[in-house]
Amino acid sequence: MIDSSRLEPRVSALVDAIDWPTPSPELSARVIAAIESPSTRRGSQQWRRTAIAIATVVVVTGVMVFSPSTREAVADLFDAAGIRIGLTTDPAPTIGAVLDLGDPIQFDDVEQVVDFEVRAPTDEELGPPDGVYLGDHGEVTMVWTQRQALPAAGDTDVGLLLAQRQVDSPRHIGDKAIGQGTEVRVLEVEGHAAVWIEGTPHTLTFLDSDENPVEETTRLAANVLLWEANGVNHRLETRGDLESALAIVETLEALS
Amino acid sequence: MEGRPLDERELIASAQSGDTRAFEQLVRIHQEIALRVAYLVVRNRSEAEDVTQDAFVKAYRSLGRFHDESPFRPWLLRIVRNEALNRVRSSTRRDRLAIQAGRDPVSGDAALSPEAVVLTEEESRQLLALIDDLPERYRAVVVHRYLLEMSEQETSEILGVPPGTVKSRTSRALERLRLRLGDEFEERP
Repeated sequence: MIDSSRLEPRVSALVDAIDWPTPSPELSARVIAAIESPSTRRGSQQWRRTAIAIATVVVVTGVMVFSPSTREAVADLFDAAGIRIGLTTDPAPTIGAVLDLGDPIQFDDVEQVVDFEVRAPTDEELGPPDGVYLGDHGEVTMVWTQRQALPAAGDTDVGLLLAQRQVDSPRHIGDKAIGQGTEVRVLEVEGHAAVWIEGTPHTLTFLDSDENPVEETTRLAANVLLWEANGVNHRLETRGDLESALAIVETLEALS
Repeated sequence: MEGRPLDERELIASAQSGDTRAFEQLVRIHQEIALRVAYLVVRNRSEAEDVTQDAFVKAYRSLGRFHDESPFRPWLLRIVRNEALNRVRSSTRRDRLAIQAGRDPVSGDAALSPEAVVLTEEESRQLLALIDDLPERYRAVVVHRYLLEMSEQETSEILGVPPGTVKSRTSRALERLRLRLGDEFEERP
């Protein structure tokens, strides 16, 4: 068997073995033409207006409705959990109309398609997820169908949803807009600040790694536990209570 | 413009002020490595060039959020990689990387140092196939550290993981490759 000291130079030698593409001579000119194109300029301006509008709605409504103590707790979470919370009076999303969680992938293939460490509950009663999906922004979502211990959320037949997303940078921040009559509890999960949101449905928006605003209104929007651990944002959605959610968290283990 | 050529910091500052000619120079400086980053993800030459073009446009749009004290290359290549990943996420098929044909280590360049390694075509294909089969988090660090010849720090910044994680994943990836190679990868003298 080859030893480690001889393997590394061979892997390095692949640089000279690959038949690399070379940039076409007009690449830089095409980039500039695209930048200077009026149509792409308009698109960018529209994007900025949308981003500003979303930020304004979340922040302003949050300031209006949150109590001072809650605002302070939420501000603490901003950096710790990568989630920013505000209140909204917008109509609640239709629960479970279409989950649209991304492309279905095999549970055994999760490791192959994402570049962060994904974890799954190891509780024997829960078992492996009934479905795993890869979202457009690299989010891995596992779902378990309803059963006696996992009542269905809303109009769906899903009893539990666990979504995991790598936290790319300090700018990669989630915004969560929640309605009035919703209980928000700040707590600690796996040694990190976390938040439990129980009550009316929520709308989640976040900025992707290029700071494009992305809206997610198609989740279960049941009770939600949000926390960040090991550079990964976790979102656990269930109709169950906080205690049952924390019991699931305790069984999480890396897939490999 | 007469005088000395602008350095990268000056080009970035000019581009941030809306000077597209300055940005065009930045494109020329980084287009080769950007294209390689895209190609390693999408595995198709023409699509890699499309991805690279779109990523440069996106980078220009995002220049206002680039901070002077940060290194530019990893910031740019991160955008390229994300753009490429977005293109392939809906595809389950991944083509193999193209290998240069007719490589023969026996007739190697006399200028090569005694430590230099030249892989045969078959060895290259075999090793690349094993790298492709690694879990993505290991494959990504191997690709950036060895195929793109990036430092741990740059790899860390592009992948968005701490340098220590790059180091440990690299070590685990090499160990996995070593075990998978087993006795099949015969060592030439």
